[in-house]
Amino acid sequence: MLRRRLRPWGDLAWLLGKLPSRTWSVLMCLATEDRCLSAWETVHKNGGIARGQFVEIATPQWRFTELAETQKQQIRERRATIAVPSTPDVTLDLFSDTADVVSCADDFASAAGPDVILDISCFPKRFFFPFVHRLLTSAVRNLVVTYAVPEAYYEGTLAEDHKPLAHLPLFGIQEFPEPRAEVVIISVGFVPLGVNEIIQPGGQRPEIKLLFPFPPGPPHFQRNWRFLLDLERNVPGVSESPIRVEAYNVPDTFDRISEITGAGGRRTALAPYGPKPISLAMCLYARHTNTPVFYTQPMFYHPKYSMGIARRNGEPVIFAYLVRLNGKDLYTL
Amino acid sequence: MDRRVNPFSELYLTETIPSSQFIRIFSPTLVNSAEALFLPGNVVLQGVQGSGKTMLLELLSPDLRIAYAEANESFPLKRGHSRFIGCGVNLTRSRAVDFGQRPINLGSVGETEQLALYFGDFVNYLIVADLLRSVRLYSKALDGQIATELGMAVEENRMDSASEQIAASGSWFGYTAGVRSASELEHRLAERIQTYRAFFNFNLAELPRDLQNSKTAIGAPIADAVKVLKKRGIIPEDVHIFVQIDQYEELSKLEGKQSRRAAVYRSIINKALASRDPHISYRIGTRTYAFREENLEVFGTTARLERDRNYKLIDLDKILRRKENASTWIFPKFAEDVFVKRLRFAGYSTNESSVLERVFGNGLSAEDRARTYCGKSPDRAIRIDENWPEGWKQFLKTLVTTNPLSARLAEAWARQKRNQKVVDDMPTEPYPWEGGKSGEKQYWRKERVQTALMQIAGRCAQRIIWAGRDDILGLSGGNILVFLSICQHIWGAWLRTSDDHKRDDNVPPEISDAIQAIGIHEASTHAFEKLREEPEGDKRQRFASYLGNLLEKRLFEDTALSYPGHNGFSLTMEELELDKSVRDFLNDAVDYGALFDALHTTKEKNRKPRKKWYLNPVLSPHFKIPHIHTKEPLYASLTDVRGWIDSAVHKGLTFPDGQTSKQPSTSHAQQSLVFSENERS
Repeated sequence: MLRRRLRPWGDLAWLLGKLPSRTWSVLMCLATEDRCLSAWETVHKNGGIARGQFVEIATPQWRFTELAETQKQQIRERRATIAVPSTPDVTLDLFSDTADVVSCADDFASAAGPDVILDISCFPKRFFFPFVHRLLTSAVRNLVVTYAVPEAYYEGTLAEDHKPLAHLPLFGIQEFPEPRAEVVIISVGFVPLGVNEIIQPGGQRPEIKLLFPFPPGPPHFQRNWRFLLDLERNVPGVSESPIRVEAYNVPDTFDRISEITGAGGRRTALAPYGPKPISLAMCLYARHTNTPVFYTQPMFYHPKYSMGIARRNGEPVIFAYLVRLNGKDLYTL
Repeated sequence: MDRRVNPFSELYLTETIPSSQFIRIFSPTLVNSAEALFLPGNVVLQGVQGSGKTMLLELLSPDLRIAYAEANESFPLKRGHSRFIGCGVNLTRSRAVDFGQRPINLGSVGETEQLALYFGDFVNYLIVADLLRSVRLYSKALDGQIATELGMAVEENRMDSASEQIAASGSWFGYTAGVRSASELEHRLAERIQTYRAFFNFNLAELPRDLQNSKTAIGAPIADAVKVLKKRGIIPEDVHIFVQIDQYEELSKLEGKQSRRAAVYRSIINKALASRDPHISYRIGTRTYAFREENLEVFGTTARLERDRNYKLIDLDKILRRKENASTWIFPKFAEDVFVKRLRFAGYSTNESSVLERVFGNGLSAEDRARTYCGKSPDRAIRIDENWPEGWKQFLKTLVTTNPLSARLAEAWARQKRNQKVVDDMPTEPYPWEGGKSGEKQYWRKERVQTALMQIAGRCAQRIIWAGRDDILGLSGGNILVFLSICQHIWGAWLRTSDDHKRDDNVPPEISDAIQAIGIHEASTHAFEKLREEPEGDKRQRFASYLGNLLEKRLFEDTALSYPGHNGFSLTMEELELDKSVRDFLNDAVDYGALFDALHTTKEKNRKPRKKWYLNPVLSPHFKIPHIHTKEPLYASLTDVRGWIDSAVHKGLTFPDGQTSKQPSTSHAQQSLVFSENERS
């Protein structure tokens, strides 16, 4: 373990205290969940904010639109009591063109200071994956990615009406002829919608590796095991024991992925269905190795996707992952 | 052999196993019904998921043909139907639909034209690259055995000079100039495709100038390449090129700005189909309503594709679903063949003429099913009207002890004929509700038996039993994937509950009705759960739930058995045309396997054409409604159907009375079946 690169992560306030920067530019999602303001609040308390940019993701009209609007208005009001962001909110459609998503990240990066925080707590994957990609492509000096743990998740259906399996923006396959994946890594979440499509017809089946968040704690573990059961029914070859990874440990998950792929030596496809920190590890690995990432994007998220914010000793539980330090990327092979 | 292995454990075997294994489970039964697929001319192959589209289209793949040759098995197509070379493009996997996601600065050129130019160009490169790959595969595999069978001349120097000539063709606008060999041409094509993809991934600031200046017209390079390959004798004149376009249907599912672009993508593909090149035919596999006649515009013209002129249509659903005349129904033969191949693949010996019948039997008679539901309390099967004469009441009470089904039909007969005072005269056998003396009422009985059984099961708090070959075929609804899923669940239930798998012989088991009933209920619930796994499936699942519960309630409350056909509903075509959102929703529900639809003859005086919809038969056990479609469906209005969709999709209801979910059903009924069966054995 000691030979491995040090990739600092931990409590946000603690990590910020270890870094030389005192002012941060923060890119966040204005969502319906309480946790969307946690990073904003903590950074504000612990230092200066050079720039704050909230991005609102607009979903098509559905039966919870009114509830979602009410909750967002409450979030805006709460935000005003913390601090008013320096720049107006940006609204992007959930199915925005890749160019619009990239522009949003690039515009932010070009106006931001050298030290940036990206809070992925409430961003759908089709946004935070390209955001991480573009911020790492930019001249940002220090990049911290944060994830706030909610107090509870909604017990009903979290997301509905997924689209067909497709690559995430900027994470599509580039080579031609397309090499057949030797290994497919799936992080275990709540519902494996459409994931069986990742196995290409004909030819040799890829090895399938499952990253199982552990310890998940109730009620997640029931949903996670249900996910595995569904997967076994739908995806041939899913019979191996899942690989336990700590749900919030991005560096460790990154290393596990690296081990599975022989440090990038095996053709791989990734499917991030699990917790966001595991998805972040996949994102960082995929960006570094040009690995395709596939996902079935839902059209709707329940406005009460999560409630509250988990607390430890009275303080919000927000994990922070240092991804770039003084211009040096920490997640490389 | 290991009898603990479920021969149906993998449903999607067709798509996911290596070609070498595919040949051992492939059923050629459908080939004759889809003959046009293997003959020159464009073909659109329609069918819901699991109808066998992929299996048939797989026969066009060079990898599969090589696998047959490697296994020394004869290719399952007649010689006249096998003189082709397959190639193709998958529109979503290839990333062809990524055009437009990143604007390309073309000065004064508008977005539509820009999309059309680049999308068509990208597709051309992918198809020609895949064609060259197919030719190379045939030339290399098995020392060129298949190339020889097809009469191809594939010597390296001939391929190189042909490639040079292909590259020099004007259709490439100079991009491939200077290419001298086959490998150089393949490399150049790959380079362009990779450049596009790097651009999509924002790994390139802009598309290189030489690429921008050499955009090809859809179909032109493919036609030129084939012309050269034929002229050089590499591909004989009588060998046809089949170009498969995969995921055409997904174009209708694109979101945001992409949904507007989908029309352009489609019109470009349609343009290729409209070209009618004598050497090249296109193959499109699609769900039924994803290939819509209103979407057949040809890019850059006012023309539209015309069926039978530009393409032939093969509708697998029509071929495989049960007809009025059951003797022309090919699905049972198809299912039997697939079933036998799966068992053989697992090591079972299958020498009987009907293995399906051996394993699943013929199921209980309707009368015995009713007796099973009633158990020791047959009186629960009927409900006595207090106003009936004592003699009739006593007659029913006596009849129900020996034949609960007949008693239930008699109850309905009395309720229907209340004005005729049938209850005043004691009937004699053969009873009119059983068909009458000369069978004149046989249809009255036939049309009501399933609903009567459903009500008896409900009154006795038992689950409806589905078991036996005919029930399994009926519930499969002509869909081989559903059939396999039912077999999988039944086999799973058998492995869990029987000691038979400890035997070491290879004789297929005879699975009891009770075990089958458990497996079928599980398969039905699984099919219901699978609805939400399809794209945008939550809303269709809720609609299926809302409709299933609505129909179940109405059927159960129809004590006179006056409306036994109300396990489905119908609308006039006129009304359906008025509301595009309702039409699209119902069409999608059919495409994704939630509903079945069919035209039907109205009984109304206005003679207006109508269309009817039923829940997919496999969902019937989950909703406790009969799967057999009989008599008149519920004549609904557009307002009714719109209301159901609104309640389910927009309000999130799954029950007509406003509930949003129901308690998990108890397994008690299942368990009692198992234990009673065990007690008997």
